[in-house]
Amino acid sequence: MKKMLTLLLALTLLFSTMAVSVSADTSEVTLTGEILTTIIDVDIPTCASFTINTNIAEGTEGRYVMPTLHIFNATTAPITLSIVGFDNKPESENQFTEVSRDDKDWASLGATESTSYIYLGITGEQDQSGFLNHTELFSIPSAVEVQSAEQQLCHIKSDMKVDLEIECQSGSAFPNAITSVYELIFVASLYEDVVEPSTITDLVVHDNLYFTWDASKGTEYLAMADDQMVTLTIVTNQPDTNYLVNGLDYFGSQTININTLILPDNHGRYITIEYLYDDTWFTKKIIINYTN
Amino acid sequence: MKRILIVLLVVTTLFSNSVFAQTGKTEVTGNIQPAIINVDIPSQASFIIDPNGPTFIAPELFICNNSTMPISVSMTSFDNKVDTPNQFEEVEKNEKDWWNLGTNGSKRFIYLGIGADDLYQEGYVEDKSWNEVISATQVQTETVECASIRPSHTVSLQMECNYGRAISGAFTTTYELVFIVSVMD
Repeated sequence: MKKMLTLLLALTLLFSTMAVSVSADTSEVTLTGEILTTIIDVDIPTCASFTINTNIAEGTEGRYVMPTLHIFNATTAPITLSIVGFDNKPESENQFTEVSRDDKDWASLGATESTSYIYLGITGEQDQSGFLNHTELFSIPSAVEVQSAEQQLCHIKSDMKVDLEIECQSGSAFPNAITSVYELIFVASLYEDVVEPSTITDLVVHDNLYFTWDASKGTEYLAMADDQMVTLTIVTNQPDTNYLVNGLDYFGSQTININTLILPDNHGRYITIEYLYDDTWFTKKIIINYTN
Repeated sequence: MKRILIVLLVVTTLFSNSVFAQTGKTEVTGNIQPAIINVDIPSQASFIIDPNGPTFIAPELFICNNSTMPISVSMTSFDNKVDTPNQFEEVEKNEKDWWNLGTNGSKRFIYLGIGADDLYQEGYVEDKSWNEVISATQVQTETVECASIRPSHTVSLQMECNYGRAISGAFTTTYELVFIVSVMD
């Protein structure tokens, strides 16, 4: 913006009291920001295989050789990983019925049941560095659980990976070797964080041991030795949290001395505190030394 | 006749010089024009946040002091326009874990600052450079004196920004920056 004052204007200002206007000026800049959409980029293996060696006893290493799925979040933002599909492919040679681990007495299954039932599930180690804001998988779902509802697994940090493992249990009576193909469908979405509403989280009334902060209480009664001026320490969850004490604006955590107000008919004194609670403005009235 | 006049004049001159002392007053009226500030500051600017880079692209802002005297630049406002659809909450540069903000945090929080493109630009008055990046939150608290610029010089400013990367849908936001330009004290 070009500010060019004319000579005429300058002379006018000289003879008025607005000479300051000539030596100070205001410029406004409108700044427009365009924020683009995040593109989700997650590497998930497209193929994996598992082997069940029914000749090795249950509980012995080598009976189930299961894959580990490395899920890498190449997005610049954290993502949430869920699984929505875990089932035999329709064209798979052998169609199992997936059940829960405890649904069957696996050691007692005969040939028909061994080729009919299987337990498959997803699990993962705790404390993986790729987890965001949690230490273990939100669920370790079985295939049958995934078939009934989407299962959220974890939040993965940007540029980090999480390892998922497939676990299995089966019968041992297989007359012939079989191959079965499963399809797992994962959904990756941008992580939706919860932003705490800006509010008061604690309030201490000095020289009073009995007051405890309860944001939901509208009116509270206190007995105080000095009811003319009260010292309050107010704690907020954000530095710019706004609230009003006796109608005066305050921001953030601080200790303040407040002159109390007189109740109608002189029944005592009071303080009002207005703050956001459940996304609406709420008024707490602290009545001091109330008398009938 | 001519001789008489000459004598008279000589007599008069001697008389005035030797007998009287006189004070001469001359009234001189000075008409000093007020300093006129003539500064070019762009009225429009824009930035782009591409969370996939991630990249923040903002053009340099040039402040050109066309005045004949040095000027001082202050900022009094750096905030979302009231009618802009997305209202960010401006925070300090390292107040958030920007890489790990989710969709809600990314849409709510932003850090924006403006500082010198080069501290040693010739346009700055000595010891009055745009020494530090001024954040939107600083300006929202109080008017911030930024720098002083020599007459007939231009300085360039660069914006900086921190932001969450989880943007679930593109959007636009508009800010208003208000500069006060005054004759340097």
